[in-house]
Amino acid sequence: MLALYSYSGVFAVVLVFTFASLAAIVLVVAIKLSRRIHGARMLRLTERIRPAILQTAVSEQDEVDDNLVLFRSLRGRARRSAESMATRMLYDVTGETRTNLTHILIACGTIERAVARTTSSVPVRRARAAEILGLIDSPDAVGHLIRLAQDDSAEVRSVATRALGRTGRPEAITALLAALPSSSGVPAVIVGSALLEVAHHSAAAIGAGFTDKDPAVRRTTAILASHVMSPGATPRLIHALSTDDEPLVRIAAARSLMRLQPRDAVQPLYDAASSEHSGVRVAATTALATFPPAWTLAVLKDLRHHPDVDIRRAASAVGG
Amino acid sequence: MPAKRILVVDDEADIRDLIALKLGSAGFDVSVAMDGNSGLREALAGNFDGIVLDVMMPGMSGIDVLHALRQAEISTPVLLLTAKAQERDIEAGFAVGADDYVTKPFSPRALLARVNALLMRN
Repeated sequence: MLALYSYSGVFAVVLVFTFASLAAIVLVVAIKLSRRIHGARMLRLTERIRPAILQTAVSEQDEVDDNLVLFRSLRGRARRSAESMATRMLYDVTGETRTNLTHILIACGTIERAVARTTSSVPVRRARAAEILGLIDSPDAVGHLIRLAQDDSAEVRSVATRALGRTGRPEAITALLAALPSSSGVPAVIVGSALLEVAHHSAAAIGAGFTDKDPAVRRTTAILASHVMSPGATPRLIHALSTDDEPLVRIAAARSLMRLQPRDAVQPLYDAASSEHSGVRVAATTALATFPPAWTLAVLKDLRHHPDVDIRRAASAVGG
Repeated sequence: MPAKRILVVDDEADIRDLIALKLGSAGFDVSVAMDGNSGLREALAGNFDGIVLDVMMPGMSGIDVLHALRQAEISTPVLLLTAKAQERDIEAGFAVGADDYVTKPFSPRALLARVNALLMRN
C-alpha cells in the first residue's frame, strides 16, 4: 500500500514536471515568434519610411512640403519609427538638413507632444521633451528650454541646459550664465560645454563672469575664456592668475594661458610659480614649460632650482 | 564625362546613407562601406576620385584606414568626418595624410561643397 502511494506520488511529480516543461517550451517559442514577427514588422516599416526620411532630409526647401504628406499620415508604430530615426539623425546634422528633419518631426506631431510634456508631472518626460526641443531648429523651443533650465528636478535642469547649448541661439545665453553658479545643481562641465556651443554669441557675456562672487563661476569663466574670448581674454586671465583669492580659479587661469600662449603672460606665470599654493605653482610652471623656449629660457632655468620638487620636474619637462 | 566616384565609409547607417544620397543627388557615383575593414578593401580595390571617411568606427578606425591607404601609396583625396570635440583626431588625420575634415554635427550641403572643392584641387 505504501509502495502504491509512493509510485503515484512520483507519477504526479513527473506529470507536473512534464507539463511545466512543455508550458515553458511553448512560452519560449511564443516569445521568440512574437519577437520575430515584431522585428519583421519593424523592418517592413523601416524599409517604407527610411527612404522617405532620407529623401526629405536632403531635399531643397521648395520640395520639402510635398514629402511631408506621408509623415502627416503616419500613426502608431510607423509614426514612432519615423520620429525615432529623425531624432537620431538630428544629433549629427546641421543646416538645412536639420531644418528638414525638424519639419518631419512637426508633421509627425512630435514637437507638439514635446511642448505638452514640458509641463508633465513626470521628470523623465520633461527631460525627454527638453532633449527633443534642443535638437530641433526652432526659435520657439528656446523659451520652453529656458523654463526647463529652472525646473525643480536637477536632472531636468541639466538636460535643458545641454539642450539650450545645442540650439546655438543667443537667447540661450542668459539662462546658461544663470546656471554657472554651483548652486544651480547643473555640473559645470555641462554649462561650460553649452556655453561653448553658443560661443560666437557669448564671448562678451562670459567675460562678466571674471568678477562674479561665486568662485565656481570665476573658475568656469577662466576655463571658457581661452576658447571663446581669444585674444581679449589674456589681460583678464592674467588678472585672475595674479589676484584671485581662490586657487582653483588661478589654476584654471594658468591652464587657459597655456592654451593661448601670450607673451605677456610669461612674467605673471613666473610670479605665480612662487605662489603659496602648490597647485597654482605647478600649473603656472607647467604652462611656462609649453611656451616658446626663447621667451622662457631664463625663468625656467631659475625654476629648475626651485626647492619644490614638483616645480623642478615641471620646469624640466620642457626639455630645453 | 563619367561621374566622379566617391566612397563613403561610416558605421552609422543613417548618416552614411544621408551622405550618399546628398552626393548622389549632385551627380556623383557613390559607393558605401559600413566599417573600416570593408572601407579599406573597397578603397584598395576601387578606383575612387574621393573618399569620405568617418573617424570613429569600431574595429578599424578612419585614421587606421587612411594610414593603411597611404602606406599602400593610394593618394585618393580623403575627407575625414570627426566628432566636434576630437581635435586630436583632426591632428592625427592630417598627420597620416587627410586632405580635409568636417566635424559632426555637419551640414550635408557644406560637406558636398567641400567634396567638390577637394576634387577640384586634385
